[in-house]
Amino acid sequence: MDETALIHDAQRGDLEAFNRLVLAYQDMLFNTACRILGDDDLAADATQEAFISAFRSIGTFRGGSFRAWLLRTVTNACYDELRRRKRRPTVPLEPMTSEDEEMETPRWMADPSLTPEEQTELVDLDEAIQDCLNALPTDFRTVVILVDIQGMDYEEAARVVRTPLGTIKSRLARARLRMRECLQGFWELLPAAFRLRDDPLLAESRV
Amino acid sequence: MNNKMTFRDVEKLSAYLDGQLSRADAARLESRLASDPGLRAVMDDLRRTRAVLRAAPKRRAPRNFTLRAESRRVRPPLPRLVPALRFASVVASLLLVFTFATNFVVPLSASRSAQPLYGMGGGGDVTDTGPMALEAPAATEEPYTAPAATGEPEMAAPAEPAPTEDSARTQEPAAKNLAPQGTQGLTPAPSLPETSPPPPIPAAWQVGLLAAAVVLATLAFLLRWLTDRRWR
Repeated sequence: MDETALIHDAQRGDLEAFNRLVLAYQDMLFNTACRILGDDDLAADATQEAFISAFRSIGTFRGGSFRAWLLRTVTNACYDELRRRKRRPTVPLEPMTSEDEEMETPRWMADPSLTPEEQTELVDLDEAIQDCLNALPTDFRTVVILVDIQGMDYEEAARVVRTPLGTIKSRLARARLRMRECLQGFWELLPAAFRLRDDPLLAESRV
Repeated sequence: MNNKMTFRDVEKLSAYLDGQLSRADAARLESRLASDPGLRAVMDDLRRTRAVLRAAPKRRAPRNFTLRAESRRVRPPLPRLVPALRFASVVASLLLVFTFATNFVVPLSASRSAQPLYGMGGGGDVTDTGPMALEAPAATEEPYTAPAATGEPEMAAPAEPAPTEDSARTQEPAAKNLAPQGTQGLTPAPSLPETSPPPPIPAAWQVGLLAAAVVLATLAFLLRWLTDRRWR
């Protein structure tokens, strides 16, 4: 079933239709929330919040990129969480649902084709990236996550954060510059893990 | 080329990487890149950084985030009209606040004669002292011009007491200017106290705005309530 029809049904209160959209987008929303918040548990909360509020306000969606619209709700939920964390620096972990035990396993690296060594290298890469992202101001972090990690174009990212295109360009440049400086400390660490998949990427981006 | 690189350059390099530069800008940057190894090095670093970020492992949702109708937190989609009504109600409320602010501020800078017309409690008190203070210089001028006034045709004197003393005093300088024109200036003089300062926003408008704000908010609330009720 196509997305437009599902959205249309969801706007009329069809929860089943909305849940099919949830299944299609939950990985993307969760990944974005993880990168913004740097914490899996908080990211899961923010993702759930985002879907609840997206269903409530789906009537306000008037076409365009549904992905951008959904990402806007999740970034808002993340910003709320960050504000809350600022007010209360130590956030107690809240128990989740009964399905919570799954959180123990690092799902993102569940790639059976990787050897244990490669997996360790991936963990290093992931940690280095997250450490550097965490050091960025929130506005820069969000833009670099949307464009470089989620692969959005500038226009779509501008729609998510409701910012002019020029601001997106400048925030992205600043974020990349800072990430470059930060990652420099990891260059020696990264290539071993990286060369496996990086070369084709580099070659491709050189075109 | 020198090694001095501005943030504009980095911004351009970053946009160039994503193919977001105009053709002319891209051509200019390419020729600079060809001759500036420093610029090229930054470009390579940015490209590398982007590649690392693109290769960042993607996390998968740890569980399904599907919503359950039984959950109390899950509520049905609001009709599009609700946010519109809410917005309109907020606008009406803001306008209402604005009318109060205007009604408070305008009399401060207007003459006192406005007060009997618009009995604004707090505003009236302030205007009592305000215009007096403002007119202090005029009052000091009074004795200075007094001889001139006495020198004026006597017909002016009997006419003066007719209007209220306060307003006459405020109008005196103007009357003085008109004085040379003779007695003709007297006929408009009694009518001058009648002219009021710029009128503040009428109370009817405020009542209307208040009603609009309340009605719109109530409609939004009702619509929301009905939607929630129907969905359960």
